[in-house]
Amino acid sequence: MKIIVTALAIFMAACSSDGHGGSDGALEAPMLMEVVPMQGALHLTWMNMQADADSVEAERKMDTGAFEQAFLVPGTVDNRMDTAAMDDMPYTYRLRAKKGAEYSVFSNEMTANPQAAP
Amino acid sequence: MLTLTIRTTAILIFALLACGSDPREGGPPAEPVLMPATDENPDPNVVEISLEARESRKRYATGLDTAVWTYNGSIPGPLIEGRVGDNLIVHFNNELPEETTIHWHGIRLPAAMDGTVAMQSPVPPGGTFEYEFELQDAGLFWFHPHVRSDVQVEKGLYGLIQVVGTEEPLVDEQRILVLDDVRVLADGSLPTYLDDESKMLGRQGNILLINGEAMPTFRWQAGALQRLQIVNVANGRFFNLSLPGHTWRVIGTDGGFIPKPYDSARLLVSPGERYDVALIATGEPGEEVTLMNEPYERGHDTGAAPPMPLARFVVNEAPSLTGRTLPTAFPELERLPDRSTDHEVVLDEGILGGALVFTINGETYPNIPVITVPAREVRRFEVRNVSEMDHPFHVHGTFFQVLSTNGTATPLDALANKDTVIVPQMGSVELVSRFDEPGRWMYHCHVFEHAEGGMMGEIDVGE
Repeated sequence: MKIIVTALAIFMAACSSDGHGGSDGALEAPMLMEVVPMQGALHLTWMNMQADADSVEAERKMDTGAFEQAFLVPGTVDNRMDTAAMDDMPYTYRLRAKKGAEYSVFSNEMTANPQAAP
Repeated sequence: MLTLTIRTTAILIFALLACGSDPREGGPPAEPVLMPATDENPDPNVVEISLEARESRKRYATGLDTAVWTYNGSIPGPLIEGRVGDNLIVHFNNELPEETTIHWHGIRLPAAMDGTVAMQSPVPPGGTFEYEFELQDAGLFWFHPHVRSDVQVEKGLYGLIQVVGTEEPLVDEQRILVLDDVRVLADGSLPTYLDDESKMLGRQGNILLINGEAMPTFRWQAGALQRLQIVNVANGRFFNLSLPGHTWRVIGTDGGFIPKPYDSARLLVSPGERYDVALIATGEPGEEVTLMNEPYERGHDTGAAPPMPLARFVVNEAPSLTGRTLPTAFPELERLPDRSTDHEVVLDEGILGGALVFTINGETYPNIPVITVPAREVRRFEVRNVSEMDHPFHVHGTFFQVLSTNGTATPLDALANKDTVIVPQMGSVELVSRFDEPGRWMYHCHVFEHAEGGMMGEIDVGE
């Protein structure tokens, strides 16, 4: 299933977008692909749909808390280990692309526990 | 990891096929051969060359120019050719915007010539250095910087040394295959930001390269005895090679030929390693076979990647040869004496202060205690890997022999001189080595990001 989703994302990124925003000119949100435990923290992998984004911002919420910024990386980066997420609890993530002062909508959300067995 | 590798493959295939860059269009492309270095010395026993590290541009499969760093303007750098006993003199000039050195991977030489910061001040921008040493061993070796090696090698700084001995097999065709990969962004640039996946696995590219080219075509003669000398210069990628319809006859590795060649359907080559293989090409004229990089699980789900094409081998129009046989034996090697373990080396990975680090005995370089060894003495090492991924373990300036892997003894007839060996995840390797040359020698994981991330130590060999 993940293969199909990834292939679809590649197709969308390569063929249906010019990399400069959606059909209405809005920035396209990244597609969060995977959040998995690694080295006692969580490793996120995503697909960037906005080729010319300046950066990708990730927000994290702990358990049932509120979302807050987890990290900001350059727009070409597509993965990150969140070494601040190491407690035995579920962490939920969402991403958005940023270009200048403009933000995309948030991506899909994914949840994982860094202490869960791989 | 799964998503990355699938995406990477898709990008590669897209670049090669969907964008119409199939090299078969418009006639057969030239085979990517390595450019020999110019020997400036008429003495037949001296190889004297000039090497300049400088910025340049290269067009990878993307069709866009990429800013790269090169030796003498090419990737790979020039091929240095010599014979056992030759003296090699290299006049090195650094025209890069930062300091660098040249490390001669696998070469036994004086420590001061090894190009590491343990023994040499880096050559500053605009600076020069003269390397000089004797080529003691036959085989395929390579050279690369040992300063910010993860960045400098990824940008293109690597070259080859081919040393010919007296026991070379007679073959019909012979090639060097330099395995590499590079990650090129949509605008043709190389990433300047080291993402965490690249820290963990080493930088893995979206374009696979042989001799600096994506998906090259090699033309060979059916029935001909082929020799391929293979080196993996990639930062992090392990190559697990298969050639459908053919079996690899492994005749040598890092330190030269092995006494008893063996057959293998797959050839696993970790970063830094070399393999010398023979095979007899099969097929009808025009028939092609694709050299593949098969999945290999080196940790963190890397085995979920799909097979990736590397190169085409096409049978040429020459009449098929018959009667060729594969090499079956080479001279015996000196077996180093066995002894009880002298040094334990424990490889691990973890998070320290919010950063991913790679450790030896719980410390990161340069805080790892130096191992001391008297000159010309043999030492036995137990290298234990308690991390969740394989590490290619490299020792400078000497060869070692693997005594066991994961507790299984190496068969007596499988003796080989190595300088780089895979220490399996959650596994161990026992090895024995003799340290002939005094000085400070590095040992480290040959995933450059791991070495730069702390998994590197020093061995101090006394006078």
